[in-house]
Amino acid sequence: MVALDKIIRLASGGQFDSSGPDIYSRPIDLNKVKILGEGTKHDTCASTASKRKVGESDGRIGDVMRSGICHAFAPDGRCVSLFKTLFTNACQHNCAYCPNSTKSSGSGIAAYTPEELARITLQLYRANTVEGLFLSSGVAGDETRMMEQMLEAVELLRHKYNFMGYIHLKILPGASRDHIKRAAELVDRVSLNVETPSKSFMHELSSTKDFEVDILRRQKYIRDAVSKDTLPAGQTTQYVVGAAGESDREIFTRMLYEYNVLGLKRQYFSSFIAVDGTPLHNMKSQPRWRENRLYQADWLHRIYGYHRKEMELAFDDEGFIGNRDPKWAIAMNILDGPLDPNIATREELLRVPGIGPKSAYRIVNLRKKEKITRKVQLKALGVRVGHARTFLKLDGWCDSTLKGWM
Amino acid sequence: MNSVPNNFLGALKRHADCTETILKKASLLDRDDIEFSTDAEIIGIRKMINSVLGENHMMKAFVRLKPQGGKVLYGYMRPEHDVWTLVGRFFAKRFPGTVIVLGNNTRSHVFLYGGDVLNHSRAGSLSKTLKELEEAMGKSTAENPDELWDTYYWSQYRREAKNTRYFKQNMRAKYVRETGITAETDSGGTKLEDFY
Repeated sequence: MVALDKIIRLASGGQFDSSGPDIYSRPIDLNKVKILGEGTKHDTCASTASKRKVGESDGRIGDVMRSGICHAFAPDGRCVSLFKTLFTNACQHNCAYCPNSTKSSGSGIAAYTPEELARITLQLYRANTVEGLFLSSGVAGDETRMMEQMLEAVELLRHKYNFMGYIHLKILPGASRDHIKRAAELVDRVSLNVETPSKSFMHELSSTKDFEVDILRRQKYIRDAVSKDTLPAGQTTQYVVGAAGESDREIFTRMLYEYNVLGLKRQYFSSFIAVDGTPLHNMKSQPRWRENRLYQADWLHRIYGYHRKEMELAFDDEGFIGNRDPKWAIAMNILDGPLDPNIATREELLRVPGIGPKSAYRIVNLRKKEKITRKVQLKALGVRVGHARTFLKLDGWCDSTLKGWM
Repeated sequence: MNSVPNNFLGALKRHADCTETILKKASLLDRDDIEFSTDAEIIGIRKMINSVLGENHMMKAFVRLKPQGGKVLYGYMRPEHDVWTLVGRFFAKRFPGTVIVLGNNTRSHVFLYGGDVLNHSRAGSLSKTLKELEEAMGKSTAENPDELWDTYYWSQYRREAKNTRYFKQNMRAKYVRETGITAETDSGGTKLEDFY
């Protein structure tokens, strides 16, 4: 504990000053912030967790958090943790679902300068409203010029303003290998949206994007740019779910390829919403639960370690999960009867609805000391007993009914 | 549910209702006891630890900082538990060389991180501390981070996906109150544009 006077003296001396050039000197065009922010509102990636460590004594702005932080939640309940914006909303591509495509640009066209974008990011960061920047863009002119400007904004942040906070940069379809390498050295995470599970679906939505050349090949470039010193938060992608009539199984099959072959860290889903002024404005929007069910399937595969064959049980004959918990659907198929939590393996416990990795871990550890015979014990370990009780046998008894197993 | 940290006693001590008796009981336990036990008293201790950790995280997330001149950032907070130094250390390290003032109308804490040292001072009300700093370090009036944040936050609004239940679950009233944030708080209500 020190006196306030000492703090004033130290701060006024300026020997620890990290603030860099003045970021408040020029006014901000709020209309631009609105237009270019709206351009990304359907992009769902919000994670800010990064393995990168910022040196404590180097005096730069912006510790990154290993766990990430949500600074607010949008009215739809989604985390708002990054200044998510387009560099420009002008775009030469004609993606039928996208309000920024050339065929549907109704609202005003806007673009930042790299300097302007860097200053706005820092103002929001210093207000503790965001963890960093999520920078995407329409492709105005050509992707080389756009990538160059986006990278210039990131370089200004990193080098001129000493900003070491989290940055997620979108790689534009068709971007060069050199730009991808440069991005990998500067940011925490990059992503390139596949949007659809295959070339044929992409063809239905856009005639200007080549799925294999502009997207898959670039994802391979990104995979090759990842090393222990670059891209600590890896590569991700996103799907616009249901815009091209694809099934959940088709999306899941693409997901596996993206994880296993391209080494993606995470994949995001955004249910298709028919936007006025786009060629698909008359198409029916997809329900929100569809993306939620896909997230659950992704979670089961990635975190719970479900195999491909098990996951197949979550899909109906037409390849859709439907509005039901995939874990429940799989459990009804693979579990022959109620499990005794005192003898079930961790893997078996993980297949019981209501038991997650943490509660399974706790069960396995508790039973070394005491026998689990009551629901209240399970509740204390974090098990969602209402979900799990049908599948568990406690002290020889279970709550399952014949109907429950039909 | 969160995991219990190794230094759980440090978190427990910060709880508003922590007593010597509770601390004594907890000091006889190890991390695993607290993590796995189904004993009601120990579960109570686990809940206390999680309450402190949760509040610490939410203050880091929701406290909004405003500039006063070029070298001071200040924010309002009124936490239930004694998480002041945890939150202050976080902001001070994030903005080295900048004076961080956190407080409310009864007390404030001032932090400055630099040269690997965290300087911390306790003071009176937030407004009083800011006045002292203004006299010593000056103030500029041109900045309005609220307007920028308000514009950006609402640009992310997807009317079609509005879900008041999710929103309230994630932006809990307790933390909104404790940090005094405003831009997001009318999100649960209906906006005029919802009717168009």
